Amino acid sequence: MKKAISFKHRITAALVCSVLLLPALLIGADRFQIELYGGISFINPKDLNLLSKAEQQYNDIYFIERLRHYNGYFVNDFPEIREMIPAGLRFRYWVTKKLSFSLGAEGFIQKKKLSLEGSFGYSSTTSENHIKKYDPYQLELSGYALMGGVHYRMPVGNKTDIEAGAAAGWAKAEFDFSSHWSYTASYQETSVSYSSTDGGVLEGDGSGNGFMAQGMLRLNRMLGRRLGFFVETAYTYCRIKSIDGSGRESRIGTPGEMSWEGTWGIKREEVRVLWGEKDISVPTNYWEGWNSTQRERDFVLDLSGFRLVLGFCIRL
Amino acid sequence: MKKIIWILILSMWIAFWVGPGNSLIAQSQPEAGFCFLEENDFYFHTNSYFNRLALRSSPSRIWRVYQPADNDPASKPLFVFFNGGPGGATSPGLFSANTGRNAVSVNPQTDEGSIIINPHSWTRIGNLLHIDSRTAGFSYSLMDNPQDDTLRQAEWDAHNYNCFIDGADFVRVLLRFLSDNPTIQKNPVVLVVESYGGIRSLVMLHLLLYYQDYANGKAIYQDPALVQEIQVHYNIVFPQYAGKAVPSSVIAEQFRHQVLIQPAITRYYQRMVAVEMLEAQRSILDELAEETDVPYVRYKDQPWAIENPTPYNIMNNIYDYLDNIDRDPYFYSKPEGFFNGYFDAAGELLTHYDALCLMTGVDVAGIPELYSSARQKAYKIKFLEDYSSQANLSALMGPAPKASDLSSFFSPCTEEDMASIFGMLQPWDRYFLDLNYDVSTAFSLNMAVMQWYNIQYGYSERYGEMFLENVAFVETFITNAAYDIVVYSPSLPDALAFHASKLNRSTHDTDGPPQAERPGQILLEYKPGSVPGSSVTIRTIRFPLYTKSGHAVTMTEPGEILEDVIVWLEKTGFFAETQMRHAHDSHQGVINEESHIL
Repeated sequence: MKKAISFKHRITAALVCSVLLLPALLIGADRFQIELYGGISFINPKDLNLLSKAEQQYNDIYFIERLRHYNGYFVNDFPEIREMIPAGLRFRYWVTKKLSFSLGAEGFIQKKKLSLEGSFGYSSTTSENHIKKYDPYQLELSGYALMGGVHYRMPVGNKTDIEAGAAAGWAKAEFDFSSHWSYTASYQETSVSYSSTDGGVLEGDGSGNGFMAQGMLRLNRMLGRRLGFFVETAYTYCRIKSIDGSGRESRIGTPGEMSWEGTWGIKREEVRVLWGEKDISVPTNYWEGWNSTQRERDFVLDLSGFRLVLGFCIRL
Repeated sequence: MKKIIWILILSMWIAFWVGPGNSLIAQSQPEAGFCFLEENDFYFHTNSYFNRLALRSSPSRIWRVYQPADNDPASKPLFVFFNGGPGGATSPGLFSANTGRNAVSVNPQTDEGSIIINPHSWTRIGNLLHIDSRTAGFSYSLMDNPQDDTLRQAEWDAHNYNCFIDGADFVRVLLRFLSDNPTIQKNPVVLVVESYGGIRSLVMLHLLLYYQDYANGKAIYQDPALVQEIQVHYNIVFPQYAGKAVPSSVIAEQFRHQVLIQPAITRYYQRMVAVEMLEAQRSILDELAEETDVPYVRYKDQPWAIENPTPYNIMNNIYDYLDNIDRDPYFYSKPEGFFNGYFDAAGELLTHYDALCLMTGVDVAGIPELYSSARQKAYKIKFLEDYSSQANLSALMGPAPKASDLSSFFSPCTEEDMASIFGMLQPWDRYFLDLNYDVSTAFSLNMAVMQWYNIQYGYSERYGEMFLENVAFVETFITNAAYDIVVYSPSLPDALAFHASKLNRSTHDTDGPPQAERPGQILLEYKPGSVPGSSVTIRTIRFPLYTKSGHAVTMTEPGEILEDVIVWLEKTGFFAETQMRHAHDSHQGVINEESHIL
């Protein structure tokens, strides 16, 4: 909850700052333009999604592979963040009829929350059941960016023009990860019964900031003298390195919560069990004790990708 | 007035030095009581930290009895005794069976026990510490709301019962005992164990010798608090390594000898080789068939035999045969129930106040934790009603318990004498359990086993490898009892040979060492570099044959085993020559006549 409030505050602050600029902008009337937009970004933050991929791989070896001779299922399809919703406000200053400069603030957010369950069992003279549940498993990504840009438009009709532009600036992003899981194993024989549940809650978050750049192409259509709308496509480059954050874990049977702070990185875990083995790369910021030598590389929050936004603009 | 003041001062001075809490001379007095084990966090893992099985053990009061050496205890080693089960108590086992000052002798006609002065007391060669494992013997555990059946039943799970926390419990008890007795804290320690105690001792020694692996992620079991406690002990014992990692070779200066009586070590291979030997033509089963005129039908010839039987299937067929001819698998020349009968008789005696005081050498009325008022949170029993079928899944070393064995376990115990002194206990508590079947079942049916962590001693290769890693540093003595089927010791040399990652060869030398009254040794040829921190290539395990014994060798050949241990300790450089000679001579002078004192 703390994170969501913090994010809202930052967006509000950016918008307030922008609105405060308004009087200054009015001085140069006809040269200024305000744009509001929202849309969708297609991204692939691989290292963040590695959290889900690692969980799938753990389930493959600790659950599905182990119980492969049992009857059961596990969709094992953990959510990944592949898109996010950007929304922003941009101010333009037209240097000439074709060339303009911009200053903008943009926020983006995405949240994936799923409940997953796997169940395997067999039944003969004895019966055994294993149920693993994630309720819920959640990934959340949010952030904001401040960028300045330059744009060039080419009229293609009376009220229509095509515009190309580039912008660069600074972005701050953060993510949250949360897994509420349980594992229930039960065994039944004629009059023997055993059932026990393992499980816990694992949570983590990270935040960092870095350079963001965009190259964009868009179609503008004026609806009147001052009002218009646009469709914009852009490619964003943003790779945020050096992500710090906290983590928390609580487990059934061990009262209390363990918490830690650390820099996120990719750890290699060489899982070796009787029925198989697998090398799993898992993002983590927990580096206590024996894990430190397994650090594979830094964690990169990659927000790069194409996007499509719709917006409207007002000429002042 | 002056005189009175002086007398008072003198009395206080004497009380200061003689008082039971004074560790400077406490080591020269027998002690009995409980070691409190707090909750401990530990986990099992297979190289994935957040996929670990995180567990917290319940608080427990572990019963231990200390008997100082006959002479100069401060200079003597500490012999630590325990039985197996798992869930089996030491009190009616090694503690009663001719290791301490007094012993329990059972009349074969009446099956009743009496206390005798033990002519073969190990106090001749050292200080003795006998320990009952968690919720066995006099030990009991603690929880909030033990009256809640669901909560109490959940206590019998991996967080309290598995080979590693069991071994860790014993390491904690041992180190805390040594810490409380600084005059013997640095003395050599010898583990003397029986049956499943073999697994416990190899886990203990591995925890002690390779302690850092248990907090750095290398071992499957991780117990950082225990590792810290071990380091604190080593800081005192090996001050030159204070705060540093102590090499195994240095640690072995304190833990350099172990005596294993019919031990489980590499249980799966031991049993696999055993059934192969027992099913072979002209085995002891054919001899028994001839003797009893009841033919032994080999597993493969049974109409119900399955195609690929496990060693356990075959062993159960052997147990059924022994049951059929009324022979005890723990001592096959004796009638069925001989071995357990001793435990029953000893247990019956020990639950009498006078006998317990006599056996421990302590007025147990002075032990506050024995009183019912101190046991409001105590529990020892999982089910209040008969749930005997649970025992079919028992991890017991021997055959699964019969209904008759279990009836005495589940029915309310006869502890009137204890209750008359210490008070009535809650239905889920007991003063004493010679074998807690709930414990042995919890060892085989728990969350760690359900999640397939490779820690079950009946199947895992892990323990055999850990044993061989220990043996590289620890001199080892293992009994080879002639009448034991449960741990059929002739199988051991070949069973060890299955650990090809550690050994090139394991050979049973039935003749050596020279001049041994009871010959036998196992010669181990190690693979170079197979033991971390050691360049070991050859090790010899003393493996004497006890021709009159079954599973409990101290019960039937107490003088012989003590004699052999003394000679072996002497030959492996354990004592200074003169000290040893004194012990050896005094043992030779023992009068073998049993004198009954209760």
